Amino acid sequence: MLFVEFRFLWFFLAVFCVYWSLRENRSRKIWLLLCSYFFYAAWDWRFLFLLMGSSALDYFVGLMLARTKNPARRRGWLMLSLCANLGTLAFFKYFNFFVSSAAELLTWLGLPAGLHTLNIILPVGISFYTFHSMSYTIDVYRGKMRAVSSLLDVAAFIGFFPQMVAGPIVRASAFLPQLQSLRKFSDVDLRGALVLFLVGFVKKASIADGVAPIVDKYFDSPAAYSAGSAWLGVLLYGIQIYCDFSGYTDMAIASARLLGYELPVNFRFPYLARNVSDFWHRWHISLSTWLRDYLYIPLGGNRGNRWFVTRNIMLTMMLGGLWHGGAWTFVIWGTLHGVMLVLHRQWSEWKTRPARLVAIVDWIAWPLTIYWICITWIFFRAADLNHAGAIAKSFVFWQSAGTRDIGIRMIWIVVLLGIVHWLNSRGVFSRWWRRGSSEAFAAGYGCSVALVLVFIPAKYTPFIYFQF
Amino acid sequence: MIASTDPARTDFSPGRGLLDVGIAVLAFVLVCGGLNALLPFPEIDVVSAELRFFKEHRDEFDTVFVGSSRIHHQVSPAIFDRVMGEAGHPTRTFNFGINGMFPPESGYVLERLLRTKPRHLKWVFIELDELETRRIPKAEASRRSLYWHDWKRTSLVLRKVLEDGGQKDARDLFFFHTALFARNFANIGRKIDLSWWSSHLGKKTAPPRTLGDNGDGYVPQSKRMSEAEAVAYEAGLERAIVQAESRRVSSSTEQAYRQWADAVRETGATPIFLVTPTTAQTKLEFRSESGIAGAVMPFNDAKDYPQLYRNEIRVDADHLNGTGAEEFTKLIADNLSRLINDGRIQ
Repeated sequence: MLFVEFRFLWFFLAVFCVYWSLRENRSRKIWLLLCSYFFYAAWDWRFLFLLMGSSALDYFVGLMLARTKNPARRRGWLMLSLCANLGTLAFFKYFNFFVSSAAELLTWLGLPAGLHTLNIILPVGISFYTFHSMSYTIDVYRGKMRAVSSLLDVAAFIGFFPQMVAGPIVRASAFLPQLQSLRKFSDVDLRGALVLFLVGFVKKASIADGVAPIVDKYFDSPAAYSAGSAWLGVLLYGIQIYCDFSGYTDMAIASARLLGYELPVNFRFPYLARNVSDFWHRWHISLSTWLRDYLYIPLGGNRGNRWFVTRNIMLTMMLGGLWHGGAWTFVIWGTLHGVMLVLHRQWSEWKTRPARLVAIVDWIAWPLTIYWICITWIFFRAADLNHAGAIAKSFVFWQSAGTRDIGIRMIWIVVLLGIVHWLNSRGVFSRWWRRGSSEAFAAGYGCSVALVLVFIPAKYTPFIYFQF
Repeated sequence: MIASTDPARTDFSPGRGLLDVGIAVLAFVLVCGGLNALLPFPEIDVVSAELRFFKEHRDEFDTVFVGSSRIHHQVSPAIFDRVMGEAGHPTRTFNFGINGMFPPESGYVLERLLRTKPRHLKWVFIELDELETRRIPKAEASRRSLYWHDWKRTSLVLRKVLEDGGQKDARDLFFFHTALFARNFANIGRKIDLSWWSSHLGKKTAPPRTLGDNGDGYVPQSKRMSEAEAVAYEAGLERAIVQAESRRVSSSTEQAYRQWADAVRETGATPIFLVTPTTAQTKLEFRSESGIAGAVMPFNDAKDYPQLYRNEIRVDADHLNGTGAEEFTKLIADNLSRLINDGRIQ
């Protein structure tokens, strides 16, 4: 069930109406949990048991962590949770990647490689809900939050349907307190949530799905296209992935908000970033902060010498890349970001920078950042390293034997969306719809929905981040 | 970004909430309805091209056949016009048969065709069959299965589904057609029609490939049955003749044909209902003949029309080949001139 489908509308209407008609918090949580499991089962009911198992295990580990003060035992319980969560993730997501990589390595070394991959179906949202789940046990272990005595609360947190399959990655410490207090309908920002949902819907259904066929055609056979089209294809992919993912996040945040819950912000106009570090403060914020708090800092973070910090950054970014999927293209994507983060760090720490150089870099910072982000997107989207190489050659060196063109008018779409992105960052669209009576808002909303539907493709494209 | 606090928010009351929902729904419905009327006709494979062709040539024709492949491949306008001319009733005919176009889609297309206001239209042959409610998996995702789901058509189909009641998949069909209606009414994805319209504005489009060699909409089929197919066909036909029965059409089907007959009569033409020579030997009868007021020409009787059931002139149980189509067309023309000569039809 996708947020952009009609059936989600009926599903959410039922969830919303019954949820707010229930008086007791416990009844509401039971209802939410049932609906969340129904939502998940709509993808594949078999993996529901995996989700339930993960919730039950981390609930139990949380209780055990609360019970014992012995550091070794506590570490043992935490290891159990981490091994179970990461082990499940590794099996479903990386087993084939590791096996095929090992086989390739053995073949390269001239050794017999009798390794076989398995036909494994990736459970939807496994990367997200294992991170939700782990944040609970790690926070309890660190003493940042108290273990929750109710299995219902833990299960409702991990399974909460708006954020379960593609984030934002919610911390237990931020969400569980919300679950434990009765939400009031009068506190719900209906207008804001409805507008946010519609904005997310436009981003996903109209923009991302609208450019998806062009992007797919380009990335399927990049060699057939001219170098100019490589630029357009990559820029359009940048638009597609942003609108797809941030559109999903907007709809997730809006759905949660309509039920009285607040999810963390996941995007802050990432394409206005002036360096890669700034980009990661704006792009998939819930992942970057999760990696910072649960991986980078435990690795040592900024402490230690330059090489130690560089190692921490590179490891974090490479694993962050691998989190997206079992493929070397994702590892390279993470590595490229890591390299740029390290370089930016060196630049920032360079105390005797010539003023003239600073001025030049300041002037080219934004286009340079966009350029680099686009290069990284090539590896993120390409089917394999060969494709990625061909596209990168065309994009960076302006070299391609292909003659096919994407179409010059697509440039206008890129420019127009860029302007909208910039205007939105200036707050141009953020307040005017709050003025006026509720009747006027309702009428305007109804008209807007009717207009928006005209401009979506007849067929939906699955959310890109569902595959992660 | 959208802030989570709303300074303009006022205290919520259920009554006011319901009023707002009502206003939003009303605005949505009004805008959808308005857009539905304003947006150009969807670009549907074959259908739109043939409608455009007919619109351009509408005053050249006085006789039209509307229906499925059983019309498209089986009625030759050239032969029909020749026989009618020889009988002293000259006609100029267009075959608007389209593969897979069953009622109520055919009725929708008929209404579109009549909306072009052909000035000389005299006879409109409409293929008679029960309303089609089934899902066709191959075509489900296509726009072809969507575009005719206006309320008039959808309500007929839903009625038919309810009438058939006992069907195992009745509920599934009900939701399926309701969902298609909702999608069609909400104009989902109709930007594609706007793009098509704007990119073809003022340009002449090529005539559709389905018009055939004479440009009259008829494309004969040349295939003949193999020996094994012929044996199976004969056996099936024999069984069908034994099981032959008369059956009244469902009330929803009758209502549909009444609507279309009325629409044809409003243009000054006469509707004639045509049952093509298939091996289904069921004689369809209207419940109230006075209400339809259109002649019915049933050719699905192997005893009355044995010449149309010879296996050498057939492609399969439903279709005739080119030779069979010639015979069938002549029979239609003969029947029509007899009806005119007898004064049973004007």
